[in-house]
Amino acid sequence: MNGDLLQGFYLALAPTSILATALGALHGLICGMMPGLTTSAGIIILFPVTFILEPTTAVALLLGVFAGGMTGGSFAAILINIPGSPSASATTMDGFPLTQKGESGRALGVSIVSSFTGGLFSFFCLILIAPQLTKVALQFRAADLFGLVFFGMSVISAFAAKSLVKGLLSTFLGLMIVTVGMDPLVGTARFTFGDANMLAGIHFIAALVGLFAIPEIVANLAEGNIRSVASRFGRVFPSWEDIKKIRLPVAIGSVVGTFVGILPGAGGPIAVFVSYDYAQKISKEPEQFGKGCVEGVAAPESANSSIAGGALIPMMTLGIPGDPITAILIGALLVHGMAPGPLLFVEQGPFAFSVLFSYFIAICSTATVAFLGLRLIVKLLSIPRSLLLPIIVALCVLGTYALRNSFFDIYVMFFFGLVALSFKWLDIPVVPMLLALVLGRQLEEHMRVALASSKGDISIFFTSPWCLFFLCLSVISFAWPFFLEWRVRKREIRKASATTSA
Amino acid sequence: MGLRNIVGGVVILGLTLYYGGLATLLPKRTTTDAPGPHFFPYLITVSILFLSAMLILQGVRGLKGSGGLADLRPERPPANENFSIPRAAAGLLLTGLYFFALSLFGFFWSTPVFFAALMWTSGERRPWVLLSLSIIVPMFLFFLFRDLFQLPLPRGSFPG
Repeated sequence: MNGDLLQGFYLALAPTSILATALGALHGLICGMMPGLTTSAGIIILFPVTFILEPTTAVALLLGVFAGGMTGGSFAAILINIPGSPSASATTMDGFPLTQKGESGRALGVSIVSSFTGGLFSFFCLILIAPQLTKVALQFRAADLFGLVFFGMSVISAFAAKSLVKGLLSTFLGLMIVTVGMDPLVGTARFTFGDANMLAGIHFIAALVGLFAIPEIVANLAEGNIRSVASRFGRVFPSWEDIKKIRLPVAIGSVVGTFVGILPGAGGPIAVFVSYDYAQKISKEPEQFGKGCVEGVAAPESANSSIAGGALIPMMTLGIPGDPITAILIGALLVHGMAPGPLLFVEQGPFAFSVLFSYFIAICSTATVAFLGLRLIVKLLSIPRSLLLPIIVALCVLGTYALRNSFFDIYVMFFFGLVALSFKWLDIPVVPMLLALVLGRQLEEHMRVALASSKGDISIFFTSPWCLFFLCLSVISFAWPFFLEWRVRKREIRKASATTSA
Repeated sequence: MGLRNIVGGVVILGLTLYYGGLATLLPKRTTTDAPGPHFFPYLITVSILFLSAMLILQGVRGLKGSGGLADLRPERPPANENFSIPRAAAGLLLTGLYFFALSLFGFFWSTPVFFAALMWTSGERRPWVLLSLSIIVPMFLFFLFRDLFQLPLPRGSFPG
């Protein structure tokens, strides 16, 4: 393991990897910053380029986008009061008031430093926890793996939607799509309608591009050609006094962000608002929050950045994506023939560790690129959307077509775009469907292998301790939204009765 | 949301019934005691039938508070005066046409036309900007991906 760790470190330090990470960070900062573009879109845009790169360099590039996107989201939040990503929404509360006071440089500097620190903390958690979790995961058998995948999907279904029914519908519709193509165990063609293109199944990346890029393009078109205005700012690097002020909020944000990042589907917005709330509670001047204080920028920004490292832990060790971006990263790794999970650390140890170290380089690159190129990057906020949108569509076409040199994948992409728009209309989240597309085949395979090993006896899922543990967690995750709703109702009833008696 | 849930639930229900019907045609016997290729689709069918029925039920329960047929319209963000559904629909239609045109004329010929059309739809009206950018940017992408990255680009069925 130690030899693999060192080799992974050297692989991540290769000049091509460092360059790729820095370019990825720049691209991520831009995509994260532009309202209407997201980190997911940034990764999708760069996806065709990864086909020509070595797996280590390709992953380094995408990790750069991941880390850069997390930081970039706050730039637009601070400068124009529009969060570049949902996770940057808490940053607007104090970031924009600072800009209004003429202290946008100070806010941006604090945001970059906090993001860097949060990312660094999550990297250390990643490097400490990942190898240990891998050792445990290597003992899993088919039934346990089924339990694990089922848990990952149940958490997303339960937390990604306002309604559990809609979250589950999204998941099961995703599973329905996964069954198209060859059966994973016996190779029977299912739901192919005699079409040769359907035999290989629906390519996950084509579906993903459609699910994420098409709704973004349509939403941008609906909103009109808004030219964003970049503001001027002075000194960017935070003063010693500011650094002393943000120490505790950054520590809170880093811990909360990493922990929430590890939980599949918990989502960035939860972590940033929880961190903001904690930072306000422990502050000596809580009344300053919301009026433009640096602690209000530092806490959510460190949480926002540390979510990335947290999300990489289940992705790398268990093959379970924590959010849409890690799901896309899994897709990228699969395209290069690397399946994330415990076996990756055994069979491709140096590569697996190089991914972890590339994340570290991505955090450093993001901070460096952000400080050095801030003035230039922010100018890009004034690029009109009318030019950006056709470029995004063209890049989506290039990326999707390059998967299998097939127009079928382009049509699949468009079909999934329409599915995503219908889901939006019905208020059904797309993330559970995305995870079902990534994990669905594994779920079926592990379930059927487990049943085959027990000669069709379903008690195997309840006698295996790990499987039982994951199934119990799934039950808790299904019950949790009902519990929360019950608690809110109870509180409301109490309030109402108190008002009546008063 | 009530009416939307009913419409969505009915569509998903119909789709699932069709899927379930196709699943019954799958082979059921396997060489081991494990369930065959039909098993997972059956599970999915039963689950979605139950969930879509729940969605319809939710829709019926929510009908009282809904605004009738107006409930079916997409929601507008209240703060944005520029918001336009026809523009979004036109953009979506253009994107669909572009994907179809790619299979006929390929990336090289279809993309500049698509660029100009989408830029115009999204509000760009200056002719020189439309003309220059819709030629320069697609050409740049074409040569970048074909020659530098050496990736296969969509080629149409018509020669050229």
